Amino acid sequence: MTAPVGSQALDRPSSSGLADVVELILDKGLVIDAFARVSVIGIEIVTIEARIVVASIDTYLRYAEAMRGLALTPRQPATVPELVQEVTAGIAAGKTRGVLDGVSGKVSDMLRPGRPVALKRLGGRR
Amino acid sequence: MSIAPAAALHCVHGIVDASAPIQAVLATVADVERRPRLFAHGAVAALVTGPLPQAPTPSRADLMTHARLLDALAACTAVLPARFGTVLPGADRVRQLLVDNEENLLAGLDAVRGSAQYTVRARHVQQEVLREILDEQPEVHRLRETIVGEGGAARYPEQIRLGELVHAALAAKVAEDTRAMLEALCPHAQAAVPRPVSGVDASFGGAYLVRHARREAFEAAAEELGRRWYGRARVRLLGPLAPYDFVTGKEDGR
Repeated sequence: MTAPVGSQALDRPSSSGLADVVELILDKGLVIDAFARVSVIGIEIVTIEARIVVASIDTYLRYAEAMRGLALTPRQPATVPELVQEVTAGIAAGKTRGVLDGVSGKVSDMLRPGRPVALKRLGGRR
Repeated sequence: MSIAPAAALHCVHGIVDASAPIQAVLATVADVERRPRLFAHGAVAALVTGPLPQAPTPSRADLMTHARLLDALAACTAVLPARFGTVLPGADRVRQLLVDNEENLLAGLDAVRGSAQYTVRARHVQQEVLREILDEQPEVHRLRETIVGEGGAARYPEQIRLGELVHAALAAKVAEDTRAMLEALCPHAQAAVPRPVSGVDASFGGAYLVRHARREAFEAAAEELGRRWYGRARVRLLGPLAPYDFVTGKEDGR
């Protein structure tokens, strides 16, 4: 497949829609006083529903069906499958390991969940 | 639970420098009722709306205003976003917050000063990724041949086994591509938070804290990633945003 020129390859909305905003900001940001936080039940339920994906028998069956129905473009010879598959599997495993090893050294230093801003607890019953 | 008296409720949207030039941004909130004002003490200020007539029931419009305001502020000044829906019972509490925490809040502002957040999300094109898995995994290939060969009347255990393998392979691809994204974008960022990978959720990505001077380079790198994955994954770039993922608040003694 030929990659397009310009920015067609990137989905770049000019402003975030509701779904984006919900995922971007809900449960993030400075916790000033949990006691006083107004519940946003309606919005939270939407988010929870969107996030829950249960790996189950149904999921497996769905993938099996998707795989069965896959319209195949011939990418590997249909003959001598064992030999071809062994080679492919070897390359794939090596490739994966390489990517993971390569990244762990450089990137891990940058990963941090944000600087904790320690706040003194405000007075009041909770 | 006692939030009272109702007339004194103040909604806190975020924290900025007391001297931050933000009036022009605040003025973009057309709805005067929702337009926050600065509540300053010393070097820091809270963005507040209120006093509110009653305990608010946040609406969609409130959420959008909160986010758009913080994002617009982040483009021109340091801002610590407060968690949406934060309400303090009284102006005194807002003042107390600033008085007690001035130093910590300033340190928090310093940590994000000169930077904004980008959130990058990618979603695999299922057909393409399934083809990759078929090419890479002999067992998947074999099971599929068996099932197709039986004309759809495949045995249940084999269908389950195939689905299980595909499910695991998809999760591995999400983990691998999350790493690949980090590797492509981290050179242009100060810090990164990968989106937690959970289950078989098809989207993946992360949040990146990017210096204003590096924004163009970061956006170009994201675009390059989109080109590299074109056809097998859609890459979505949101930002510049307020640093939602780079501000974690915790109270003393908790």
